[in-house]
Amino acid sequence: MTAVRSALTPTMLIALVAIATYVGDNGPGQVRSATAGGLITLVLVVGLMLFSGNSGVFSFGHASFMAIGAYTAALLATSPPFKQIELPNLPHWLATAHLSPIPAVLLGGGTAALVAAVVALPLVRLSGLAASLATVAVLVVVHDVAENWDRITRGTPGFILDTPQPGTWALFPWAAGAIVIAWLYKRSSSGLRLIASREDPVAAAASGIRIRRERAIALVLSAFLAGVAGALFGLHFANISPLNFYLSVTFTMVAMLVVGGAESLSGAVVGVMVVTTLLQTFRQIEGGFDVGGVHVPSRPGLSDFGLAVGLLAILILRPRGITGGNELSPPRFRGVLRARGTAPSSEAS
Amino acid sequence: MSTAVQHIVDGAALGSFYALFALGIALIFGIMRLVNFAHGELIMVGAFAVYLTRNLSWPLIVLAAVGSAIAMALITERIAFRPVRGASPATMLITSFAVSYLLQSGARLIFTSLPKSADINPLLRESFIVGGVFVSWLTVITIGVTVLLLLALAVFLRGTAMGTQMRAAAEDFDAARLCAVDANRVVAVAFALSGLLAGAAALLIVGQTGTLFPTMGLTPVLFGFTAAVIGGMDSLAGAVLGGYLLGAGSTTLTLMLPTSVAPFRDAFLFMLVMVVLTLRPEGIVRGRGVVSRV
Repeated sequence: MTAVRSALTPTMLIALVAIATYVGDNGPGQVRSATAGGLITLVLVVGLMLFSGNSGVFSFGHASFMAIGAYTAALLATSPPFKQIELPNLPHWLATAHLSPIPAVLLGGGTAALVAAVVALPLVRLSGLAASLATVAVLVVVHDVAENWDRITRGTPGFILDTPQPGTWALFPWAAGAIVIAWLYKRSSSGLRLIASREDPVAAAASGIRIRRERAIALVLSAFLAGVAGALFGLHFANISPLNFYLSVTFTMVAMLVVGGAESLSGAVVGVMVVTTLLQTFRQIEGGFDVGGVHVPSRPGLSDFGLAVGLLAILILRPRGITGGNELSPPRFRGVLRARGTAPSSEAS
Repeated sequence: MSTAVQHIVDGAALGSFYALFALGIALIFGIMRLVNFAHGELIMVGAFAVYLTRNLSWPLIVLAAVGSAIAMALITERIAFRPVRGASPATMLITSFAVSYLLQSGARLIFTSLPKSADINPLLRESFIVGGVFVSWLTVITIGVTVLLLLALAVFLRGTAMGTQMRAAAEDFDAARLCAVDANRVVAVAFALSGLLAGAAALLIVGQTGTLFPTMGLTPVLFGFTAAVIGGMDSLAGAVLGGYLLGAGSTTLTLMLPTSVAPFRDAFLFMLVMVVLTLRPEGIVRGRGVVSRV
């Protein structure tokens, strides 16, 4: 019975995403493209939640895993003649490689996971603030390499892909898959041990939990999802440059996770949906529009400004996010009051 | 010989910049465990004040830059950082990230993202030769202003009642409050000081490059943060030391790295940050440290 009940949360989340995808996909062009972008961001933020939400260590470095996934998949999926024009100095094996999109995306995630395994060696030794600061260093290092390794990345301007663009519904299975992976990890023994270490590192270590090991596992898994998200980003927008994977996307994903509630998977999903909707609304206003013959001029920067204000408001007024760290679950008719009384820990029930 | 002196002068000038940035960050961190990513945006605000007052005489420009940076530091403290004071360091870090983004996009809303130019005084970019070494007036002023600010800060922290209270708060915030130290006042003074340092940095940066734009605070904050981490986040002397070490390291790396890897200088610097964080998370000068205790 518990197993059935526990499967309800991811099912409900996937259903919610499916509804949002259906509605968005039937909307006007801009909304459709925002929906596709939202699905990719969902994979990313669910990946970030898998590490940061469960471990309590906030990462600002996931955009770099995204970049690694994006460049790997883009280099593998672009056709050799096209690469010959844009990147004439590639090593031979890379210049002639040509994979179809799905294996390219998976290899992108795999490469990001591999890099994460190396980064994990120093990173998991740190805790709290020092760990968060180290992830900032990872972000800057990867960005600097992407900007200057002209032979492979074509530097600051980046390059264009000639792969067929995946449609909105082709992105949906990846988002659903990310939700399933994050849920399975959260319910796994490694996930539970990591959550225990988040709640009280000293008590967890005293109970025999090897915090570094669990953190490393979560980081590698979460980097895989971030890498997949980056790969999908490259294939979908058919164009990648180092600036796509730097502070702006870092800020957006952290904001989404905090707004939704970092400590639960539902928080990650809700955060992506709410923030994507808000950003899209702001972007409409930002572009300028006409109201009853009055022209409202365009205001570049408004959507970022709105997002920052929203994030600050949540941080000050409701620091645990919209979901408060709880998982979405079907209403419980028996013992509703008792469940409310133990709200913070109800996710473990 | 003269080339060696030249590199030392260049390294000292760069190090002074980094020390200024690092000090602004370490000052706030010492008292409230907040890594203020919005420090770079204080510099940006000061720079835009220079732009707005560019046609006035230079004392007014200096006043505008420093005054606006201090005002913005106090506003961000009151509106954003006071409500989250005492929250986990990660929450405060995200808050400062949000404030940084807010000010950046606010500047973009008002001034657009196109770079602006402002010239404080053309004399700053002129240079003279002493014993075969090129020295620009800006180098002299940068090093001079930094040393002067460091001395003034040291006198303030050691010699005044407010300074003593600030040092007490940095030592143990709760114990200081029990000894009747006004927490709000101490934190506000710390932010005002970091605003002063940011205003000075803004003047020096605009004096050097002559350009300003909404995201100009990013590089200073990244390097200031790096210097503070290397030197020891918890110690002001450590932050200054880290700044000059970073300046020296950066100049040396530029000289020593073969041309094929020279563009990756920043990648090397930040890998160094990772190494320092891993081997000695509390930095060179050991303070209370970023390492949590049981």
